Amino acid sequence: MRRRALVSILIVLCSSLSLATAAEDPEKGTEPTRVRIFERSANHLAVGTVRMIGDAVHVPLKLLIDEMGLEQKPVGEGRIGICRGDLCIPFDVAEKDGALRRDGQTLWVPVAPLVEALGGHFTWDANAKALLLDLSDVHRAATWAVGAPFELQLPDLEGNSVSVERYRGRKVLLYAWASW
Amino acid sequence: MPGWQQFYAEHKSNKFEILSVAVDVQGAAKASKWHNVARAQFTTVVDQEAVLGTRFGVKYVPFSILIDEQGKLVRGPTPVNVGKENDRKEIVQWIETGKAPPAGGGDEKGGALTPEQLTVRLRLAYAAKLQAGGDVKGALAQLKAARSLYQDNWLIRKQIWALEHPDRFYNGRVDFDWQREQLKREAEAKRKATRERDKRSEQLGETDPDQ
Repeated sequence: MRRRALVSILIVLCSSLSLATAAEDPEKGTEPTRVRIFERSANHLAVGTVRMIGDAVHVPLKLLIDEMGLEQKPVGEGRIGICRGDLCIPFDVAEKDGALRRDGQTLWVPVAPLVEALGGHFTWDANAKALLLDLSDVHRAATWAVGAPFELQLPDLEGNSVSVERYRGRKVLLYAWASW
Repeated sequence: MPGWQQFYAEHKSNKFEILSVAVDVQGAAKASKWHNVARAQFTTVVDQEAVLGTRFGVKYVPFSILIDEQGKLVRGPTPVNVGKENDRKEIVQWIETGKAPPAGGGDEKGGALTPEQLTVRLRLAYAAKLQAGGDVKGALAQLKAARSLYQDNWLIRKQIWALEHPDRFYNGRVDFDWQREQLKREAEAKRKATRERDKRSEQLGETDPDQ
């Protein structure tokens, strides 16, 4: 019993030691954690890893390319462009803030500067172990005013996308309601 | 719904359309029942993330907006009840003469979404995805996190109820008496939590060496 207690104390000590090192050395970052990664504009849910470096959440570049619809394009020596269509965000491959961090085969992308440059939005939910991303231009067609053209696109009951544009030439009453 | 179907049947020949937007994190299944019962001939779309409410800053349903032949917004979000003669009259006049009904007293324009609104939208989208995959608990956690960012929002609050107590919503009819009781219970729980927090801070105050 005593030996078991000693072993558990040792384990606790070791794990708090490694946590302390991670906290003291922001360059090193935490070990990769398996989480769920959701992207809103494509309504896509994937399982992947994230890694905290300092306070900043990072994801592998490969995941953004394979799962999240972004592309990788060369933009010069030692730099990589992470692109949505024609919009490319250049990142230095280096060991500093806001740059891609190389770790073995993995390139870790800082989520905050990427999402901001794409005009998207994200939330890191540590409790739910979920990284919620919106990699679309979130401010497109968000503003509205009486007298200005109004855009809206939503799926119908069969899942087909419907845009209010289809009613051009007719007056439309849009009625928002709920079953609850 | 049946009231709107009748209204639609009377006016659709006059270059008039209804687009019904069902706000429901649970998706098309819940909304289609009401659409079908009313034998609605207009289109119903599903707003799982409450995008429309978030964009307009509206925290309730039902509400309406009016759009003209050129696709321009004629009237911003306004509560509307097809059972009320005055509401019907205003819309009929607009259909027949093009004269816009008086503003509903709500906002006339809206700016870009705030980071909080974007997070609410993102969490609702994720909740819808989890719910569709059968993870009701995970969906509820996201709805509750969204609600804490967006106080007094009925679009979120009542959907939390609908997921936690489906028997009160989908058992043939929506139990509004239960909702009134639930409101009282939640208000009481909130008062109790506040009282306990105050009590704790009083106790802390007593032992504060700086006092």
